[in-house]
Amino acid sequence: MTDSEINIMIAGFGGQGVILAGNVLAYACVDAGKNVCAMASYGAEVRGGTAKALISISDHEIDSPVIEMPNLAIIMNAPSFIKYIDTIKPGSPVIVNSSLINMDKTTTTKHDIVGVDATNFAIKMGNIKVANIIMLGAMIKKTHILEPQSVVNGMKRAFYKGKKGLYYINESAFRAGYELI
Amino acid sequence: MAELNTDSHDKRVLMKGNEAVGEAAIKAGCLCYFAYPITPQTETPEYLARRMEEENRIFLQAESEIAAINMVFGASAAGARVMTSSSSPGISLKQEGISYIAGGELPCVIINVVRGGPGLGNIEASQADYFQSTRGGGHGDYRCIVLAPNSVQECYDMVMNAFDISDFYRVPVIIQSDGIIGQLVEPFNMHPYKPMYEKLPPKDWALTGCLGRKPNVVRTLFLNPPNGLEMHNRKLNDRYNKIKTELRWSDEFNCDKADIIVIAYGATSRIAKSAIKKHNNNGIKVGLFRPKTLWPWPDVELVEVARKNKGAKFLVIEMSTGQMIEDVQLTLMDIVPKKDILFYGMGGGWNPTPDQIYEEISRVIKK
Amino acid sequence: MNIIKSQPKSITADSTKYCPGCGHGIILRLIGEAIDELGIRERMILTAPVGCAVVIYDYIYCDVVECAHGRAPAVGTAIKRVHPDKFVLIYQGDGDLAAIGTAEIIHAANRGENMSVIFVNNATYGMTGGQMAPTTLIGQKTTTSPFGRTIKGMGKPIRVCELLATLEETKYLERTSINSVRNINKTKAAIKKVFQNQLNGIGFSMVEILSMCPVGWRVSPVEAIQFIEEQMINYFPLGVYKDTE
Repeated sequence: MTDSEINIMIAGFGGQGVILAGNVLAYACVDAGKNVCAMASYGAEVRGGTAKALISISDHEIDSPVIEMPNLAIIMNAPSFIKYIDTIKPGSPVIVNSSLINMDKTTTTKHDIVGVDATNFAIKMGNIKVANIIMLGAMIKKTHILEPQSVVNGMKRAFYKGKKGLYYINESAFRAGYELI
Repeated sequence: MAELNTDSHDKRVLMKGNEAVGEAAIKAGCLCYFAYPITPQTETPEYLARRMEEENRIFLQAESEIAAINMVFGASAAGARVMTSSSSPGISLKQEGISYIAGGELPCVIINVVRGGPGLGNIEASQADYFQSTRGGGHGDYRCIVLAPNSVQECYDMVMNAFDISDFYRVPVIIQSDGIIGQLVEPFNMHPYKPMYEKLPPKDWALTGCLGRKPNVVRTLFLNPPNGLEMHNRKLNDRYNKIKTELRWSDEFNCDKADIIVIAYGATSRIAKSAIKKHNNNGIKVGLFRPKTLWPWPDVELVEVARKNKGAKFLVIEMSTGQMIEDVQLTLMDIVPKKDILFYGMGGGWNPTPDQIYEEISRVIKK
Repeated sequence: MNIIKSQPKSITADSTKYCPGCGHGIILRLIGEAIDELGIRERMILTAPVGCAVVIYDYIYCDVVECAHGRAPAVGTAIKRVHPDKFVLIYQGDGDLAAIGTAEIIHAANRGENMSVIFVNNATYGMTGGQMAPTTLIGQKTTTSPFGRTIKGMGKPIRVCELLATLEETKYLERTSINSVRNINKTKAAIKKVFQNQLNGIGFSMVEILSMCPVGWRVSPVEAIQFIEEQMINYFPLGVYKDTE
């Protein structure tokens, strides 16, 4: 891990599309010609339990696939916030899902907290499952780590072979998230 | 995962290590794949269940690891390119079959995505199967060729090589991956299959029915003549010695006038490299020696590194309580004092972080 | 001189290394005759088991693979998948098929692999010197059941045909014996049927043959035949257990 590396943690409960959001991000990096290395928690996780994806992004060769301390995070639910917030580098941007996390409880941390009402907005859009991509949109707007177009291209790949409608609603979700902050 | 869209800027493909293993087998012309589900390698059977069907090849989820390896034995005896994959507890079950495959001089590719042991252990990455894979593993005096990838690209490349190497020497080849490398998602260049050898020996020993020729017998029992087994073992040993001279792979990073040489393979080598670069940036001379073949062990290359870096300390890092270090000690026993060969590692499905390795290197410097 | 009957052409050995009174030699000849009559020697692949039949390649002149103990149905499965046009013969004893290889035979049968299985049941481990097999009868003395097999602690002998008949993908299952000329002829017909089924693409077919092991049983060859007639057939009734044709 070098200083130029961006190490992202995406955490939430199983079923919130944590791993999928990580994959979209990884595809976006390939589109942008960046190096990327993604690891998802595996095995003992169950639907409803805590799921976590770790993604390293760099313009240089990525050595360690093991991330010491993420310097950027998306946190989708309250238990993940409690479990992981102290593992994130102080001062780093942390995008939290304010639909499911009480923002009052986030003020004591030393992080750059950004609340996004993702789950409620996803419900308004008609599909609660796109909350993850709304969060992704907000994160890109906040950090500019990738061009929005790269993420859109990444989604084309991630939803390849899937239904086209799935791609369209996720693209809308991404744009919505991008505009939410 | 998905194929590339043609409008993409980057022609690299994104896949898990375990999936790249499957695609490499497809590209290398693997006709049969037999396996049993186990974490953390299950993506390979899942991937190949779909791809083998698409390619009109043979995929069978066996009733057990034992059946799977014996199906490998049968398919290989029948002349087919064949692969199986598993993780540590499953590989233990396969050892009987691997011994028969080695005895029968049959080629095949075996993937071991190593997890923590002993027993059911856990499902985290580990390197505790080093002894098992480099010392034969089952009963009898045999060896398997062991390749250790440390990236998704190498998973892809080494599986392709493994089929060629195995056919060339008629020795089973193990790809020793681990829970990190198998689960890692990375972009890689999915190039077409490039054969390693200009020509492979014909499989004139294969069982195809003896039409127009003398029957072929794939033997694993050597009772007659009385010295039959001895002759057989000598033949195998001659072949192993040939492999030792022809197939030692390793990588070096900053192994030039270094004060410390870290020796690590697989996922550990990459974690170590992060720590080494951090030391290098602070002006500390640390190098990395990475074996890419665990058997044959790259002894000549390691001796050369020791000669180039006189007085250096050697720090062996493994996700085990110390297995590869015995090969390091044996290789360097005449040129490096034993006290200068140090170890950092832990058993039980533990992996080091870059900071932990950084600290350990700092401790070695201060000694 | 008119030759009326001679050694099957697919059998190369002048004699076998089997003990006096052993049943393997008779079964071997019947298999040889069936191979000759169907003309399949040059397209067959035979799996040798662990046990007394391990050196079967010394007797039958065809492609052979020497399998690990009990694993022949898995090995054969792969060979048949690679070469669906070839004839795959699985030859197994009772320890091989019904003890250490129980999983392999059950799952090969359950998948309905189009293979022919010859299962030689002589109620003992012959090669290792007469130990208790999964098919050893209640009360039968062996070196590892010196006071006779008891139900308590050792269970009852496994009836393989009946067991496999419960699997819907098995196509032909028959139990025969080689204790008499009449039964030998029936066994020959069953072997041929099991072979023919594979050639016709019918599916998993097996013949279980009750066979003598006088040395393992510590009796004379004549007493061995009597043991089959008086005891084995009582527990292992002869007949066709499955014929879905």
